[in-house]
Amino acid sequence: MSTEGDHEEESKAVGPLTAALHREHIKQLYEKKESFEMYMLEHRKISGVYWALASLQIMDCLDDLPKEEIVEWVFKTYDKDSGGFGANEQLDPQLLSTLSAVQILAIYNELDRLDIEKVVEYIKSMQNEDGSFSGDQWGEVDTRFSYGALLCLKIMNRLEDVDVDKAIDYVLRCRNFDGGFGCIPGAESHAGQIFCCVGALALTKSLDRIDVDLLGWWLSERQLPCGGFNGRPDKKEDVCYSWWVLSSMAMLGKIDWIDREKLTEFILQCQSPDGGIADRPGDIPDVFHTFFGLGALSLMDFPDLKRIDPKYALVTEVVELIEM
Amino acid sequence: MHGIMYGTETSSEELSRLSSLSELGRRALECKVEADLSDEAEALVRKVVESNPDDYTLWNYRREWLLSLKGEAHDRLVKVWNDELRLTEKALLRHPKAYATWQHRVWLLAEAKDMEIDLATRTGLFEKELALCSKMLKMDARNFHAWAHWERVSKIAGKHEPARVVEYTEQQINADFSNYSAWHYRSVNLAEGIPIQDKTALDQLLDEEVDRLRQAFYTDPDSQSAWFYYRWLLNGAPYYSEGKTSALFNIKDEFLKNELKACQELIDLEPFSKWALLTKVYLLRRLGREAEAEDTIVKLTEIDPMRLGYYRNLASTSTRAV
Repeated sequence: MSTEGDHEEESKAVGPLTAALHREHIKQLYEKKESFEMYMLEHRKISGVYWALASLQIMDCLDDLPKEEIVEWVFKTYDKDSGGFGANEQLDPQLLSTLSAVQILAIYNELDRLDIEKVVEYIKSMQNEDGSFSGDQWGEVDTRFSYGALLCLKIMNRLEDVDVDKAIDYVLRCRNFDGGFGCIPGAESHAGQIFCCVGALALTKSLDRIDVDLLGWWLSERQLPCGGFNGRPDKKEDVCYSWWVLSSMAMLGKIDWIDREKLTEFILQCQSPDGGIADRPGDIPDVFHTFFGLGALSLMDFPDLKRIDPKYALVTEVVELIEM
Repeated sequence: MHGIMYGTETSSEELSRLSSLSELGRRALECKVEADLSDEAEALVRKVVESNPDDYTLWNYRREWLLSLKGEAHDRLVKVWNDELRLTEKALLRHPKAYATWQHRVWLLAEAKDMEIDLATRTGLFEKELALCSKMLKMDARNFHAWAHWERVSKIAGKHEPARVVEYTEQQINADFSNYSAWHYRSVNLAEGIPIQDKTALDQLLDEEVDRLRQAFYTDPDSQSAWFYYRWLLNGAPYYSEGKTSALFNIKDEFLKNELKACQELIDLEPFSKWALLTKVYLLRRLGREAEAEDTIVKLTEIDPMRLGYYRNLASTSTRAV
């Protein structure tokens, strides 16, 4: 490493959190008729809305967007026949969209408006014989859906409606030589997938079934000299892994195994001059990375941000209401 | 947005392209909502998914359309299915990480099996899928969708060929020691790829693995992929099968001593190689040389201060060979 490079690193000014600009970015995205980001979100709009609201709530300004209008829109994506929600109006129901819908309603404390029996029935219908979950009626299997299903049920306080033991057995079958988890048994460990599997284990109080030291070590090695995290060994950094890695470490109780100051600096450097957070410094921002950046900052107790719960990906005051 | 630089404002041409694509998507969606399975509707949907493979509802439409053909002549089904496979390939070459497209392809293969559409006679189906994986991995050797596709397809085809995977990972690793995906799939298939009862074959395998790792360490001591695999090997390469965990190799102290010596040689050349030092701690502890391990941990806290918390924990858990 050259000394010159070191100096450059030191002199890089790290600005404050530009919360007001992030609020503006989210508002613009909601109100503007046409933008690149809007088109990119067409097929996962409901997740986009969740990322936006969760971001606003972390910054304690949930009222920036019109609650009633959004809740009404959420129900426009609901499929009465199946009990699932789609990613946008007229789109087919999907498990992960259903999770986003339930999370949005939890954020607004409007879970009462759900037909809980019907939604539970939908999620139940997604569980397969081996304990895994499909993402929709067409049968794609992935550990992302195990987490989505369990979290959705946990929020509705209906975990016992599926076979939790089998669900966890399946998740454990996806564990690898490095202590991490992949999308199906045998598939490579990936920080996003690890977040889902550790989340599923944490929600069901099953973390004692894995080697947390081995996995914690692998996760701590995701931090690169720039302070940001990658999602797999020998890959590049990206703000979204700040959330997936750090929240996993928080669930494992290993958050002090990385350099929080350097991670904070990296995330702040990814703030765009016009608001929003990007994947890396100098790229254009989007609501997905904005949420993951803010979520990671919140886990590190960044000043003036509300505290987020790593396994629910919702602020703790919402989780307290759910668990009451 | 992933990898798009700030300041590259979306041009008005780009916005109008997106806008017309979006309009086309809306029209296609209407066909879905109205269950319009006519030729025109099918062609329109095909056009949209080709350029917008995240549009999962339209892939659902295609599945509904394909299922509506049930009962038609076998030749026609073979043709339609092969066209559809080509469509997904075209879409994947444009968008190699689109979940919905990979999923559609898996569905096509599973459904062909269920519907007894005999694609294999014409195309050698399983081989064709592996060729696609290989093509995609040439574009990006770490595309985890392509690697997982191999797994999913093997399951559908009932073709479990661990020795073949091991051989493929060897090529990939030799081309790039930092290909962690390849090391991973090697770990999954290694135990199944060789006759475990044959002690000589096992010893030889262990030697070969260590030789390859050594080349990796000397090529780039900071690349972590090989080091994780090495740690697993030093642990005896534990693998899970039939409900229990077994170790592939019986690791003896003599072997560990040799490895420690080799590790020290690397440290002599590269005194600040964090991974060599970390491995040294592990080996020293396995050999019961705790005091020396502690000294090495102190060194690690100096050269890798970002993980100070981890090393502190490592120092405090002396009885555990982490």
